[in-house]
Amino acid sequence: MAQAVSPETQKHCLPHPQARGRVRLFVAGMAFLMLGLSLKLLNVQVISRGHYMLLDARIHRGPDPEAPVPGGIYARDLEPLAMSVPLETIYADAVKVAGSELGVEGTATQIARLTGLDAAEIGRQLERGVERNQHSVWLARLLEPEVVKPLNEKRLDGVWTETEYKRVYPGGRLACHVLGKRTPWHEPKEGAELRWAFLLDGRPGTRPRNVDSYGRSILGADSSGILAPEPGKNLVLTLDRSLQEVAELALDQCMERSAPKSATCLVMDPRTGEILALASRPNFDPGGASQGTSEEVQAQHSNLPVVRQYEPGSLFKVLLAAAVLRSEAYKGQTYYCSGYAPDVGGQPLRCWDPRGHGACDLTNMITHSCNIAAANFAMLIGAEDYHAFLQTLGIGAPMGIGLPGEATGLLHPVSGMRRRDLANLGFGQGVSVTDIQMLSAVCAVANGGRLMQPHVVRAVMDAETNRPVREIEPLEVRSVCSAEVSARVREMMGTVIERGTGHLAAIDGVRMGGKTGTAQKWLADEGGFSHGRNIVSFVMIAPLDEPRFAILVTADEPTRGEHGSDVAAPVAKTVAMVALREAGLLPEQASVAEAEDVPSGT
Amino acid sequence: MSAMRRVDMQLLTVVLLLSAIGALAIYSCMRNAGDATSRLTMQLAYIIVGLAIMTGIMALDTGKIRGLTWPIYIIVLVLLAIALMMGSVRETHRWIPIGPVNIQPAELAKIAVIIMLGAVVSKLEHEEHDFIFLIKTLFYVGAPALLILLQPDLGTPIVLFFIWLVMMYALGANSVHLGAFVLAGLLLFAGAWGFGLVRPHQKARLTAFMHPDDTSQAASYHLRQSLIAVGSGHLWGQGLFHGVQSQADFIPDQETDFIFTVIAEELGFVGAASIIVLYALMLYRGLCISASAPTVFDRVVAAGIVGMLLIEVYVNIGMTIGLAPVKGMALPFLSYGGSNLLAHMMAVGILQSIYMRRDQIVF
Repeated sequence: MAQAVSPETQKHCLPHPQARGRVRLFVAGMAFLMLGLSLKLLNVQVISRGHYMLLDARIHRGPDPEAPVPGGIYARDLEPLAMSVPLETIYADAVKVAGSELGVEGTATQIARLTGLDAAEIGRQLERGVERNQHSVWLARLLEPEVVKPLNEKRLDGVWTETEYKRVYPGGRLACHVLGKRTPWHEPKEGAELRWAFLLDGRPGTRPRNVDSYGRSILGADSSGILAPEPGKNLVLTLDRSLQEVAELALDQCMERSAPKSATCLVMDPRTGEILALASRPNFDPGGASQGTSEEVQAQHSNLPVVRQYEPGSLFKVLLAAAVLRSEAYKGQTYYCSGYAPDVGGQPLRCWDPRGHGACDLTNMITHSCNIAAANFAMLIGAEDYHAFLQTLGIGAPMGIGLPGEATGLLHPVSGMRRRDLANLGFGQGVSVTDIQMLSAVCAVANGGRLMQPHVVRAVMDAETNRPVREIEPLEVRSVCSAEVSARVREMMGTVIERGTGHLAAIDGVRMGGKTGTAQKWLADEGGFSHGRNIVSFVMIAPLDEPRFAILVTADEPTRGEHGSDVAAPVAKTVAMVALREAGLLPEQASVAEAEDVPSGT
Repeated sequence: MSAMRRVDMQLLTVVLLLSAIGALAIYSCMRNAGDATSRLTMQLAYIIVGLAIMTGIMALDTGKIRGLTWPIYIIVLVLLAIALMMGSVRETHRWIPIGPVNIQPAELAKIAVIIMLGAVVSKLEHEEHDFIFLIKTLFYVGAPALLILLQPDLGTPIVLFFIWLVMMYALGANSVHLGAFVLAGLLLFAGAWGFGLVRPHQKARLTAFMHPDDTSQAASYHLRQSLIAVGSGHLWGQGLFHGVQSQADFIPDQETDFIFTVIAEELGFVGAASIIVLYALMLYRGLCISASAPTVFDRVVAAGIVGMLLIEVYVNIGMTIGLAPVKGMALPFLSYGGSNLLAHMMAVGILQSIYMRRDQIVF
């Protein structure tokens, strides 16, 4: 068969005669398909736009971005006090599991078989999730990675594991009030954990702004404002582990010996304001569950040195002495104490010792803790002067210790202060302070006259490089008195231990200063001061000439013993022994002689 | 003499336009996936190599092409066998890695089958085109189709069957006979479905396009994402490089099988419909070339190429807008991929070669 077709007819694409009918049919078929595509396209893109925009609108917030590894809390020797351990939690999409081949029961059995967990318990969790139509329920939390390994290899439908962190506290209850605790979901709840969570926890990256119905992020559209996660920082505290341990042990002994409702021990470095130890009783286990009634739990979790304000009583006489020494009105006055003064600011005043203290100069006022002399000295320098000095010391204002819930204390304004109020203020009544305020103020008058900023955080460390990103330098808030005044106050405090109310705290071979306190509690519900229900206390500085440790011990309503001298002073002494020995300030024979007083394990 | 003047300029223009638009769309959707530039470079290289091969084939007489039938057919069968022995990608054995590129012999198989069928029917020209004849020719489709089925790939064998159908139709085979084959094919498939030979995920994929809104089905995910992209293109599109779905790297295989969604989203109905018009023009030109072909070989081969392009274009675009099941099938000239592009450049080269020799006297 031969055939020639002219180019002209080719151009117009005339079909081969024998195939003409088929070509027409084929063209029709092709046109039909192409038209079909075009019409469907028109429908999807233009006519039924709304329907696909609705699908498009199924955009919702994405899942929480992965949390960075939380930082740890360390003592000043860089031993860990709190750290996070990664563990695995099994999650399930309950709805998906219910619709899977295995079903709820089969899945629960499989998980139990693979991990050795209780199938019934897992089944219950799944059932609950199904009832509530939940797409993410946890089945078993905080498991060792090896436990879930077989499960991860099996890849059950709708079941997955996620890494979660469990907070562990290697020291047990050690420094629990400083550290605070976290919830089982690792959320910071109290203490430094809460206060410094913004550093410890780092910052999770911001979630992708938009996510499609399958949880895939929509980038490109708007990825601005998405921040990368920032890892947690490590926190180094000022706490000295051995001092903290001895403070805890000494408080335990005190609780046993004197059975107070509560007791506290605070150790500060007067030179820097660093808190070296902070212990409080009752206490709690930060890594464990709470035990007891809600009232008991509340008491256990109260960080008393920071959150409690109380009338300091005779401790205040240390501050009074400094105020008197720097006052122009003081010319070496002496007041006579017969145990009872009929008219102090219009009312009679009894000294704590009915026998009286005789002629009391400023030193004797402190040594014997004479209330009548204190009242007179306070009235001598006047309300304005005294009040201004107390304010300089930070009384009545929060110190910014760096732990949550710090109380402000209470210092009444000068206006409206009657003479008797002023007299009471002389021996620490009608004013309330926290342990932190009290000890900071004592440090200020004892360390040469500088009020140091009390603080618990020593440094913030980068978790990866373990290099400090910020070191907290000691901060002098203000100068409160001259070095000369300070030296004279220290001498007076020294006499308290040498021949006064604090002799029980004396350590051979080391000069120390101290002051006892026994304050009646103001009972709000009874509208008056208690009788026999006291907060007894003892403050100590050591060594006397260049104080390196300031210790404040309080005990609330001791049932055996009733004065700071016999309840609180021995605690301070125990702590001071260890502190001085570790600092190399304890003469050899003293440490041997007193060794049996010091708890072991420090 | 001016060979260029004999070239079908409309067909060439369509091919160049589609290739350029494809390269642009690939670049657009890969911009946020990281290697857009390398993809673009690769695709441009494929286009240039493809055009060179196309030109080479145009220079060949179709008789020469016919002479190469058996070597090409054997080589393709060997390559398909080698692919089966290669490591799997996405649990299939479709690719043969050679240096930096993976070649996909199934793409070349289409061309080989078209030429082979052309050669066979022109050799048996004087036999009656009865049922037995059709079964004989079907064997030449069966060999590569079986190897491809083993990959496993269900899409390409269906394309091969469709190509055979169109070629036999163009040859003038009895329509009733062909209808019987189609029916037999459907029954075979229904049987495989009924007896559980079709795996559940394949079933899910094949039926997903009928209910795209069913979010409980993972199979419909791809389609739904695709529909969202196409739907948000509206009339004029969101603008090149501005499609949310496309820029978000949202649709799996968007630079290959789902390239049409990029165009639909970013260039809108106007752009997407233009693509369909371009394909329609290409098919029409192919059909004209077939209809005016001087020999049976030429006519049938050109028809086979048209058949191949038709089913590929229809299924690919259809799957992105819910008119066809989601199958791994590339869009000719637009999708990213060397083997596919080269195979189609070859196909167009053959069409051009046939067209250029349209007025030669053949005995």
